[in-house]
Amino acid sequence: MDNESKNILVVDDDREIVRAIALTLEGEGYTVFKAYDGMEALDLVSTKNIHLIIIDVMMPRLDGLSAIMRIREGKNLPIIVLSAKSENSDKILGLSMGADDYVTKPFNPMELAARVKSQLRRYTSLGDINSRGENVIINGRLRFNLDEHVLYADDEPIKLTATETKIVELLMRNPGRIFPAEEIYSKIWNESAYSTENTVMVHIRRIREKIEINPSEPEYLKVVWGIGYKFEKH
Amino acid sequence: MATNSRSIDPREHLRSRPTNTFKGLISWLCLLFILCAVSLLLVFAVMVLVSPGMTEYASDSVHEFAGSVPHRTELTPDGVYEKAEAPDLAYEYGVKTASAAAVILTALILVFAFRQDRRAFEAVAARWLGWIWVEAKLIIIACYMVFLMSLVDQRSTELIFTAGVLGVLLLYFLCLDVGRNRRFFGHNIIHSLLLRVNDFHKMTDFQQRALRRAYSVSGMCAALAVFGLFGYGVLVNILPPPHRDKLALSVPFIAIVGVIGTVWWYILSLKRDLRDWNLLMDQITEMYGGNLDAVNHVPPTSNLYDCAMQLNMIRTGVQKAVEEGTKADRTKIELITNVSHDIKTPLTSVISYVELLKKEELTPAAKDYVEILSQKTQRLSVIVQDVFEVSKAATGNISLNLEDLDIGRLLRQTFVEMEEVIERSKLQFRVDIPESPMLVHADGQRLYRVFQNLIRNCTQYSLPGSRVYVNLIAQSGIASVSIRNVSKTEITMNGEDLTARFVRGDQNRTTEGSGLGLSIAKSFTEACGGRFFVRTDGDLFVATVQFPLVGGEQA
Repeated sequence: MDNESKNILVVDDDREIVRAIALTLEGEGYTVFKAYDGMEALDLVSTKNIHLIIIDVMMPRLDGLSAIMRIREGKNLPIIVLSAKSENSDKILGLSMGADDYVTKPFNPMELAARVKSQLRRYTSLGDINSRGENVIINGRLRFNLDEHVLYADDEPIKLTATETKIVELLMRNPGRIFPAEEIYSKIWNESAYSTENTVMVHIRRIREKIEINPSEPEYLKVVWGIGYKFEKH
Repeated sequence: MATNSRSIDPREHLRSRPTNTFKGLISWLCLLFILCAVSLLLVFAVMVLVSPGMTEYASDSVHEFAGSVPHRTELTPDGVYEKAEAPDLAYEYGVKTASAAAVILTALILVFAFRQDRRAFEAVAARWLGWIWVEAKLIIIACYMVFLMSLVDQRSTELIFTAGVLGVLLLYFLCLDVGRNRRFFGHNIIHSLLLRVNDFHKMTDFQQRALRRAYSVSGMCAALAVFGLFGYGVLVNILPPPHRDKLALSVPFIAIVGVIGTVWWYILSLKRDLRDWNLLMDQITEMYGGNLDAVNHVPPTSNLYDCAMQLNMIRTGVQKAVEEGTKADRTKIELITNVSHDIKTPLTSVISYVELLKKEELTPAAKDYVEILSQKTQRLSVIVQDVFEVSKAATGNISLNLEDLDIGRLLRQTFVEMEEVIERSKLQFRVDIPESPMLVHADGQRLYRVFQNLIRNCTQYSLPGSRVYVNLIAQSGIASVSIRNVSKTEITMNGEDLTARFVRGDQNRTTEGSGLGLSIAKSFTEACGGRFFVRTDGDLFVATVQFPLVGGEQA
């Protein structure tokens, strides 16, 4: 896909951070617009054709969350929130205000770039997939094609082994449901589980490393500690 | 003994004291003996002067003294010295007089030789005398007077001698008393009674009440006893015969019932007091155990009500102080939170620009430097995150998602997640986790962080190539996970210190890690309702995490 055509607005009151993000994203081929407070951001959103916004929460004049609410009144475009607050409640608040993703400071610029890419893919490809009439399970940036038995993340096929594919299919068919390891084992291997918990666990970890942007903080394939595994619904 | 007298040899001090008292006693007894002797002589002299008829007796007694049969007719008042009358008698006189003189002389020498000691002993004796009420002294003197009066008619010489000796001794004691004790008349019965009353008023309310109750109960019992006996005696004598005995016996019967009732009442009130004591002690024990919400409910009618209320007030005070302390702690941690917030923003820039720098064309040396920068910024980022976590946990500001989970499975999941870290460490993990589920009530995500930190700790601080033992056991309703490893450096701190924030086993702080690992593990475990402790034994390091099993003993 052509990143040149994508306009990204980066909003933060810290100019150096804006510059660093801009440099990183420009390195990926995006066109970057910069704003240093909420009001400037609103101006740019209304005048320029912006495809994605990266916005900080705490800013002078107009804070990030209020700006998101204003933007959401008129436009439907992916918004990634940046914040120094890492608490779950802040994350939930940001997402409920209309943000699509939440990145806590300090972040790795490469991870941010990956998230930008993911968000843009989702927004642009959503329409086509449904029109194509394929037999798919869509969950956030993941798409599992039931006919091909192939998992796509951000429209790119993920290389999975046969067993891994089976596990992904099982979990993606039942998003939100918690599967104990032995249940996964008995369903995939068609045997009753005996001391095979580790086998399943190792598979799950490998899958996670392939599909998650940041495997240490998984968004999709989550460990339910002491109970089992589940596929988070997005 | 006073502590400041250490310069003097205490043993010497101890040795010299009893000797003094003993010498004083000897000297004092000698003095009394001399006084007696002198008084006897005086009485004898007075008797000879006053009534010539006494001469006979005097000579008799002298002979008696000499141990021979008296020869009345030949004796003169100064017959003592008439040796010619009886030569053998004279010899005996001589021996006995000489020995008597020797005894008296020795006594005199002793009296004068140990003057100082005697004075000291007299002071002691005077102090004893001071204890006796003046009334008692006066009565003794009066008795002596009466005794003297009674002597007027009698002619018993023994009694006269006794009176003489007693008189001299009394006089001596009187002089001693008056001379040494300033308050001769001051120490009387009335004064002592007043003092007692005063003491009673000085007692604490509780003691006073308790004593008054005890006194009144014993008084009541005594009064009832007297009433019973006296009433019986009177009734037996005045009642007409037919039912005399029965009617009379009714009085002591009533008295006995009264005594029983009084004692019963006393026991009941004591029991009430004991119950209230118990309430107070329970509260103290609870408060000592850390439960500052413990309030006692001692009834206002209780003897201990004031005390109980004061204890409640102390509790409130302590609680307030603790709350204020917690508040101060919270402010401190809020400060840390804010600071870590302020660190995050520039850190974001640093990380971003280091990443950008990595992509630039750099000389090999510069590339190396950038790599170091990158590592260190990552570490700084971890530390900031950890500080944040720990401060949140310490303020109790973490939201917990508590659920029943299998701690064994959680451990296995943790080991799978950390496989890479463990493989890189080249340590051998000996893991013993039973297959059967052990359900505990905890936040899985936090508990994972606990074990993650502990295992990471092992990989960082263990002796290379050594074994790490991890085992899970269920014992008396408690699931206990212990992780044991051998430290590569000497552990100079105790377990308690190691879990403190920012403390690290290696004092030079060169290794990776924020120094918050154990602290986070401890805070998270405790936040989830578990117990966390660290024990060191030489280079062996043992971390234990305990959680109560759901449903008590199982597995």
